[in-house]
Amino acid sequence: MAETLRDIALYHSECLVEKSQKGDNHAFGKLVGLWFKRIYNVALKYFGDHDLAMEVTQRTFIAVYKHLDNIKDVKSFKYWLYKVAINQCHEEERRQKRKTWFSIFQSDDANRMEEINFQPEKEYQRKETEEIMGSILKTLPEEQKVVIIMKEYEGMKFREIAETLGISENTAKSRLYYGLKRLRKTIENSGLNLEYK
Amino acid sequence: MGTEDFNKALITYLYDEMSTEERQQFEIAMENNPELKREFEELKEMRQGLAQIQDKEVMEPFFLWGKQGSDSWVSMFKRRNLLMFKPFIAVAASLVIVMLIGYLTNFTITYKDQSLYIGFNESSTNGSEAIYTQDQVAQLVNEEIAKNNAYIFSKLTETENNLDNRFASLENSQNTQLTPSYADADVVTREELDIFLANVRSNNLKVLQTYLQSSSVQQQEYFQAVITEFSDFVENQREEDLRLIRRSLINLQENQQAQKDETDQILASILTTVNNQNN
Repeated sequence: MAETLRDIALYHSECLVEKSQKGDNHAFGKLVGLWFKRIYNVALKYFGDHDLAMEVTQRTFIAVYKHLDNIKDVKSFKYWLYKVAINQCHEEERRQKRKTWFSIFQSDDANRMEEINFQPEKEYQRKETEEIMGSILKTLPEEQKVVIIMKEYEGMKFREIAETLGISENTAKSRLYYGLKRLRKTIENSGLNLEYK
Repeated sequence: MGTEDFNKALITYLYDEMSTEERQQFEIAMENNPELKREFEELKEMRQGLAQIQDKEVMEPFFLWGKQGSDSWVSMFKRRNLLMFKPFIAVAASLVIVMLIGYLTNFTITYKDQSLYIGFNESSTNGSEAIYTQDQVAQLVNEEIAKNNAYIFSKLTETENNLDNRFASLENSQNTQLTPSYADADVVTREELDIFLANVRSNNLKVLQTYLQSSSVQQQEYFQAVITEFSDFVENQREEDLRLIRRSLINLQENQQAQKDETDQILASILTTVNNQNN
């Protein structure tokens, strides 16, 4: 098969975006259906929380619907969509920080972070490898985490990541390198012995 | 090649984005540099760890599920946006309704002379019947005292007249009794007659004093009863007015709630209509 499913989806996206820009709500519905899972999984890896991921995904498509006319080049829809999603993730994270600031009690995430940092054995006994990796991924700085998600899970080229985030390819590579190193350091410091090793 | 360049090359190699020529050069460099090879293995292992995180299946929201292609998701987005503003709209509508009702009923709240007045129609500063100033209360009390004094004075005058009449009749009676003895008047000495009259006067004086004392006590009791009843009257009137204000406020609150419910129903009806039209 010459084309991958991702390529087919991308081709369909371009057609659907053009139709949506002309006011075809039917096409936009299909566009949402095509990308919903991808955006949800990006948000899920960013937050590690289903509810927040659903919230961000819905906000993303609301923003896409409102600003669809701003896309001049439909071929860049994919990058634009990821950019909107990442911005929504950042906004949601700020909202969560404000909530935590005004909250008397610490959030579950904060508690989970403490467990990872200070009680790795308990954390390991309680969670599967996937959950632990997801939790550790969440602890990365935003800029490194976003690059890792885009490269590792969305399979984007460095050129595409650079275009999406408005940075240079070298910056994207640098963030990815230090992100991976930081992940490894966190695992080593926690004394975790993950099954994949 | 600097450290940063090595790092970026390592990442590029790790993710297989090097050209064939670059790849061959980097592999040679890695064979000659065990530290670089070890770092590559670490990063590769890290990638294996990240690969453990799989994509999660997710149910698309109900507005897509089973109705893909319809406009239902559009109305959902619009409804969601509208719902974000719903609390503000509800608060604004409630405020408008309250202000309208307040305007129509001439509801006034004023603070004057260290007193808070709440009422409908007329400004309470014009005087609810139950609210008197200190001067007005003093004037009312003085009026009542004056009336009471006039009453007491009239009673005293009447009593005095009665006593005069009774004294006169008694004197006449004594004179009448004495008249048959006039013939024997020479038998009664002048001194005995004076003693008799003095006794009569003394007795009359005692009766009068007793009457006056009794009357004074009765008047004091009556005055105290009047003051007590007046105080109770003012207190009852105040409580009655407060009950009336409370009842009015409850009615106002119920009206607001009814208006709010009606507004919600209208909004829901509009949303349903828009949704149906879109469908």
